[in-house]
Amino acid sequence: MLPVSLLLRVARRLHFLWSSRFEPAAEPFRAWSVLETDLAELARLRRQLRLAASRNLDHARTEVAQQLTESLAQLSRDLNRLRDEYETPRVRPPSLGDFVRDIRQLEAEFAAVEVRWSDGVVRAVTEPIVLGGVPLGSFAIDFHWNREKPFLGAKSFEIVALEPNPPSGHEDVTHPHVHDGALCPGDAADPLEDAVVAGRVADAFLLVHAVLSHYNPNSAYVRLAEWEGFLCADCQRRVADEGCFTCEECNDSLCDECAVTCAACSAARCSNCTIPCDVCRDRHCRACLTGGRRAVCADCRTDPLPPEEEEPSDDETESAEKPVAAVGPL
Amino acid sequence: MKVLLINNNGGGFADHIEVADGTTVSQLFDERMPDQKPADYLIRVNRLPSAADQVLEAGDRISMTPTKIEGA
Repeated sequence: MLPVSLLLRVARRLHFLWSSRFEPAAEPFRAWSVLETDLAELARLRRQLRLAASRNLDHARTEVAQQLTESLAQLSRDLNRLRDEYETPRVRPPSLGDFVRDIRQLEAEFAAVEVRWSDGVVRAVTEPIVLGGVPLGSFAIDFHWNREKPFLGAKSFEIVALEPNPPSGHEDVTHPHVHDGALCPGDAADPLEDAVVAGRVADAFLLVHAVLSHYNPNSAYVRLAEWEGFLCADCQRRVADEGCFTCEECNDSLCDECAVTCAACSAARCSNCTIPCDVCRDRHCRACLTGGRRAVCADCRTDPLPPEEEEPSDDETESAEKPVAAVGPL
Repeated sequence: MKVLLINNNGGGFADHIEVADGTTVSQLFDERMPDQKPADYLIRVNRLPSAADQVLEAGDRISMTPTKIEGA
């Protein structure tokens, strides 16, 4: 548990932040103004009624009395509105005690709770999380109170993988719903924002945890089915580990459809590390082809070329008598 | 009697409500969260775990938070 002194210090800090944000209740000036207008109108009608009565103007008195009745009804409605303005409970910021109790609840709900003053962070650590049989490790849920806008729901939080197990090729995705430390809250967005705005810190952390504890296959940065395995360097498909080939020249990972076998030495290669024989078109390592003007495999050098494929040239005849240097690896 | 109910499901709700004297936690859950299962929620009374048959008292703070929520 956090020492009491630290607990109080962070609670005071959070209380200060939230208190600064809440606006004091404003006087309902408009409702008062309407009431004053109603009273002025009633006073006028009252004078008119007295005048009509004093001059025995029965018709005028009847009309003014009707107007006075309607104005009194309007006054009654406006009085009710003014009363409602004062009775509507104002949103109040959480008290210092609320923050103290919330942090103690965090300590009860999570494996560990820390306060990182230099980072302006309250951190709660989850248990190791496993989704769909994929171990993702435990996560630190960091609430940043120093962010420019610390009351923006999920954006107030950073998710730090403490034992990262990202899918290959996606090192910034440590959880199906976390990218580059940012949680994509989905269905938790609204209640999370409400909790943060209201200063219900423990509820906010629990909502983040609820997202981390569940897998939504319909909206994941990387689906769990593709989490383990590797990305084929040629076709960019994600393939299960058992279907992996490695190019023996450049060490790229390849799926079984993209892996090439040298027709001469049978070494596994990628398409970039093989070239076709100019005669038979079978793919070979560069080392298994002879160079010169044409890359030709050993089998095709043994078999004479068809007459129509020969290139008549004195220079060519002379060069053919000379030993051909083997094409070494590039 | 008045209690503070915090429902962290869906759009969220946090307000004081009236409940009958003697209302238990499970009764309140069944009334406010129809078609939901208590096992799918963290239910806390005054920030502490509670038994289903715990009788609520005036001023209690009851929170109900789903344990699993679909992210995006």
